[in-house]
Amino acid sequence: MSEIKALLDAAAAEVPGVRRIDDLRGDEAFVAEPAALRPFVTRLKELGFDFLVLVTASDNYLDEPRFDVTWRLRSVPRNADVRINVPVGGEDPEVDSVCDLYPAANWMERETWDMFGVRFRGHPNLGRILMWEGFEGHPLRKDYPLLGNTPGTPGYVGKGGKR
Amino acid sequence: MSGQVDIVLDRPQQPSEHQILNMGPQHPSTHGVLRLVLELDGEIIVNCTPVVGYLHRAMEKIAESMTFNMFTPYTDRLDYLAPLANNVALSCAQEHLLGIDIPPRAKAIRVICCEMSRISAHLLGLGAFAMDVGAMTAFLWFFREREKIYNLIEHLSGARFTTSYTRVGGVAADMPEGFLDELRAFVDQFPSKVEEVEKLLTTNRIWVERTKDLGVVTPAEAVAWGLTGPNLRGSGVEWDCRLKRPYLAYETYDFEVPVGSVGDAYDRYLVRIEEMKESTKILRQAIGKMPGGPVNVEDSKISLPKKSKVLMGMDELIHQFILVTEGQDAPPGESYFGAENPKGELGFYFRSKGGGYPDRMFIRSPSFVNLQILPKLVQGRYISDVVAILGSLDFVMGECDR
Repeated sequence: MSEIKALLDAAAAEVPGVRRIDDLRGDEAFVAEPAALRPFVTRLKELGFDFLVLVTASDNYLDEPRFDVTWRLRSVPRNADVRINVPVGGEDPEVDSVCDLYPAANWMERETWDMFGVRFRGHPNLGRILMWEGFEGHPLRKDYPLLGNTPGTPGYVGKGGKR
Repeated sequence: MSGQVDIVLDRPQQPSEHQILNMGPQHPSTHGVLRLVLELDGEIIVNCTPVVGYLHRAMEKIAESMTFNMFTPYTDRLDYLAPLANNVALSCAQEHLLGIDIPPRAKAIRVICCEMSRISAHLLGLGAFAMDVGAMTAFLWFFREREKIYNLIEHLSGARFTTSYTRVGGVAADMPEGFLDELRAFVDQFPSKVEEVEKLLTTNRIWVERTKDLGVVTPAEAVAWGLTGPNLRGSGVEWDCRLKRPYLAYETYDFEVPVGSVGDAYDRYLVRIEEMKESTKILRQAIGKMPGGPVNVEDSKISLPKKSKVLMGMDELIHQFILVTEGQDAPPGESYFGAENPKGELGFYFRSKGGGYPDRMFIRSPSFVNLQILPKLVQGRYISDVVAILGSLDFVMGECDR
């Protein structure tokens, strides 16, 4: 595994704004600046990381930067995984899309937008996927209420008890 | 429903005489509640936009407000054709986060759970695939075998569908007496039943003509589109988490990973048939070398202590109380674990800030990712081919929509 480690460290050294972080269970993990994401992922793809396992985000509510967007890439021939975290903040968080590099990213990026409201710059059709068009809010954010009525759902009771 | 579109199409409709047709969400061949918006030129498909989310239940949000063991019943409703395999995948992922190893007997029982689920999920997947293409007999014969597996699962866990059998650090209870004999009896007669169905389909001219060279996925495409499971292996890529990232001591079992050569619907069918035979081999080995010993980690901070001790001892009482109310104390950090499920790699990404509740849990569901390639496969084909391609991709909407 040290060979993979050296390979990844060399790739990270080529791209400014990428640094290695310690991982709980010994996975290869890196933190990248938003601007460094695409160069780093492009470099990793050249090195044989041809499979995108997941794209998702998590919400550090009340902390800044508020969101951590996570990519996990896999090299099928080398049997190695690497995780990339990109912290983004602000009212309207935005990161680059990797859809053109990995077609598998399409729906997972849409899901991340749907659930967290993180925009993916350059995505061909960044619409909602699990919720419906016209739904308001992003349900997996920590400040989204756990209880209450949502317009558009069956059994919704509006103001004054009107359906 | 013809002509109505309330969603954003992946590609704008071409200004022509093309017709828009909604297929689903209540179409019997879409295996659940998948809706396809098809743009048709006569009977030829020009464009297809899948609409998912009809079964979305916000499982990831629910997971944030409960302890690890409390989430197990929700995984029964992910891939509801293989609930035991989902239970195992979740518990393995939680153990990976907590950094614990489980006793050998628990591992062997979980292997039996996984392989029984794999057989039952492939039986349904192939049976429904065959029925959609018009072969009713295969469906009925496969369901007869599936019924036997469900009887076994009922004997093992007490429930036929909503099993909730695993716990962090082991399983809910040891196998009941006589279970292994029943399983052995099933394993002994099962290969001949698969061969019966193979005789019906593998060289059947109608079946071959309907599935050969249909929905071809090259190895490079399969990897780029993130396919996993039999769909990836049908394209000839030899990736199986059970061998590449061994868990549950899978490296000690002797089995082959079948791969296809062309990557069409027929290859995906063959791969699933062969996987059922390999699962039978694994089951036979697991029965043969079933180790003795406990089925749970003997650590009162992970597994519930024995009830008799709880009633007599102060420490055990405290441990039980803390485990039930606060859960297992996870270290802060991130972890990912992917298990080879019948549909592909079911992965759980945990992000913990310490304590018994995950701060974030992401379910990497194989059906969701596998379904993305569908528009590419159906373009230029007939509507009747859509049904066959859907059947060959073998997805479950409960897992896709979470």
